[in-house]
Amino acid sequence: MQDAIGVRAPKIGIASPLSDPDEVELLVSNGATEFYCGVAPSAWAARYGASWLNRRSRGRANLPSMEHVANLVEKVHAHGLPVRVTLNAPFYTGEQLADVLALAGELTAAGADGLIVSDVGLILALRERGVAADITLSSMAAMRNSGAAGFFRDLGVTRMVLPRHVRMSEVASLRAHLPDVALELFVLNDGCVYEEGHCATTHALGTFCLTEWRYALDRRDGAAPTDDERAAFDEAVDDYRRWKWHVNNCGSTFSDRGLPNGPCGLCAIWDLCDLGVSCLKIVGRDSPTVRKVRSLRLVKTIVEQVAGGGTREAAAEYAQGLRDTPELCGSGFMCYYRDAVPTARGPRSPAGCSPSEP
Amino acid sequence: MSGPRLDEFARPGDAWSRAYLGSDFCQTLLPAPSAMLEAFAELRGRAAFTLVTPPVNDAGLHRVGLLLDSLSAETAPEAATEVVVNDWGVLGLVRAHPSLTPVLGRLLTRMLRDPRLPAERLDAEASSTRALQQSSVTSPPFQGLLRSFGVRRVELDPVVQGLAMDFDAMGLAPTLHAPFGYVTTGRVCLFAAMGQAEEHRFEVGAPCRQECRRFAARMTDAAPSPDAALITAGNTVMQRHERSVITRVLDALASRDARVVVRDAPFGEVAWATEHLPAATRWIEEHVS
Repeated sequence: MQDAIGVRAPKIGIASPLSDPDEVELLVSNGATEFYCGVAPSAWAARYGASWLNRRSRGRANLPSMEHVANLVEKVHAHGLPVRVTLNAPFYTGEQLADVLALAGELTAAGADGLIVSDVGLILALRERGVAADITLSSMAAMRNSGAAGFFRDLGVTRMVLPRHVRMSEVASLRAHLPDVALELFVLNDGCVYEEGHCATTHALGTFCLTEWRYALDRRDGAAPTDDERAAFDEAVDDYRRWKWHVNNCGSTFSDRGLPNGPCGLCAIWDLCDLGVSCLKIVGRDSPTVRKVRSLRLVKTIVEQVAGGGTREAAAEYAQGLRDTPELCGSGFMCYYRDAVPTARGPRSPAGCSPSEP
Repeated sequence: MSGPRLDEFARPGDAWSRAYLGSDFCQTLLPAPSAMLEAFAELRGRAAFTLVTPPVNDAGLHRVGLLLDSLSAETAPEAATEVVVNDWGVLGLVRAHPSLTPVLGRLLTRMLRDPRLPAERLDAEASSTRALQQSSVTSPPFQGLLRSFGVRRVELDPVVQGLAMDFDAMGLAPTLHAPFGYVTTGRVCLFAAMGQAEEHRFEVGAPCRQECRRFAARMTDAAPSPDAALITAGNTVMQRHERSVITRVLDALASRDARVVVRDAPFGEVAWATEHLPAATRWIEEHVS
C-alpha cells in the first residue's frame, strides 16, 4: 500500500492522534501533517476524580505530565508540524476554571500550537487572559449550523471540528455561509452512538451507550402494541445492535488486509476536499500505534488519489477496494457521511485538493 | 404531523401559570408555525408561553427563525414569552427578537446526568463531588456571556448526585424539570428506524415518520443494573427520577426565582411550569413515587 502513496502533498491536512513521543517519527513518515494529544496530570485526577480534564482520560489516551508534552512537542516541531492539545471536557465548573487556565498556560509555554476546547466559559477565559494559543473548537461543542459557527468565530475560534453526526449537505451549507471558517472533519475510527457533545454520561463509569440494553416497547396512547408493531420494533432493535457494533470499530477488528475496520469517511474525501475542508481527523488517541499507522496510510492513500485528479467515483471505488470489506461497506453502518454517495461530476480534482509542493 | 397540542397534558392547576411547547432534543419535532400559534392563542390571558427548541442544522435554523418571527409578531413584551435554546445559533436568533426572552436549555446547561454515579459513596466535602454537582453556568465568563445575551434563566434536570450551586449569587434563576431528566441524546434514532428503508436506518438526517410520537421503550440492562428507570424516547434516553432525588435537588436550589416544569411522559412535548413551589411539591408527591 505504501507504493500507492504519491509524492505530492495535498493542501488538506491529516490530523493524527498521538499519545507517545516515540510514535512521532512513524506517524510523520506515514502521512500525518499535524497532531493532537491530551494530558492527564495526576493532580487533576486526584482533585476532580470522574470529572476528567478531557474527553478521553482513560488508559494510554493521554500523556502523564507537562514534561512529556514538552518532549512530544519538541519531536513534532523538529518535523515542522504543529501539535494541538485537548482541553475538551464537555464543561468546566467555576472552581475548575482556574486550574484549566493554569494548565493552558503551561501547555502554551511547552510549545503547544493550539488548544482544542468545547467549553464556552474556557474559550472566553482564554481570550480574556490573553493565553497565546490558537483555539480549535472541539467536536464536543456539537456545532452544526452557521449561526453557531458565527457565534464561536466571534469568540475567537480559528478552526472548528464538526461533530461526528453530520451530513455532507450540512458541511456544504456551513462552508457556503462561512467560507472563512476552517473546518476539520472526522474521517476514520471510533464512532459514537449518541451526539458526544450532548451526552451527559461519563466514560469514567464505562461506556453507557455500548450497554446491551433490553427494550420493552410501549405505545404512547397506553394500548398494548400490536404484533406487527412489536415485530417492526424488534427488527429495528436487531439492526440497532448491528449498527452499534460497526460504530464500535466493528468490535475493534482489522480487515483481512490488516486495515482498521470501523467508522469511515474515506469515500467522502473527494467531497471534503472539494468543499475546502481544512483537515481530516483520525480518531484514536488511545489506539495502539499500529492502528494509528494503518489509519494514516488509508487516509493518505485516498487523499493522494484525489489530489492526483481522479473522479469522485474512482476515489470512492478505490477507497472501498483498499479495505476490501464489501459486507461492511455495503451496510452503510460504518459510514461517517452516508449521504456522500458518488455521482458523476466530471474528471477533475476538487478545488481544495489541488496539489502543492511539499 | 404539524406538532403537539396543549390537550396532550392537561394543566395541573391554577398555580401552573406557564405552558411549555416543543422538544429540547429533535429538530424533526419542531412544530409548524400554525400549531405553535394555535397553542399560543389558546393560552392568551390564561397562561404564559414558552417555546422549546432543539439543536438544529442550517435548515432547522431557518425553521426556528420562522417560528420566532411568528411568535414575536403575536407577543407583547409584557407577555413574558420565552424561548428555550439548546443551540448557540438559536440563541443568536432569539436576540434578534427583543419581545422574546431566551432561556438556557438543558443541553447547554451542561453537567453530568449519569444515572450510574454512585451518589451514596460521594464525599460531600470533596472537590470531586462539587464538580459533579455543578454545571457549566458556575463559570464566571459563562455567566457574563449569558448576561450579554439577556439570558437570566437556566434549565436543569434532577441528578442522582444532587446539586450544589448558588443561583441567587450567580444572578440566575433555575428551572428544574421533573420527573424526567435527560441522560443522553443524539441524531440517530431507534424509533425512526421502524419506519425507514433498511439503507436509511441510523443515517443522520434521513427522512423520519415520527414513530416517537407513537412509541417509547423502557430500557433494562442485561447485566445487574443500577436502580434507574431509563426510557428511550425518540432520539433521547430519559430517566424517571424518584421523588427523593427530585426533592433533594429542589431543596438545594434554594432560589427565590426557582421554577419547576413537569410533564406526564418522558416524550411529552407539552409541559406545565410553576414558580409556586408548594404546588410543585404537591404535584411531585401525588405523581412521583
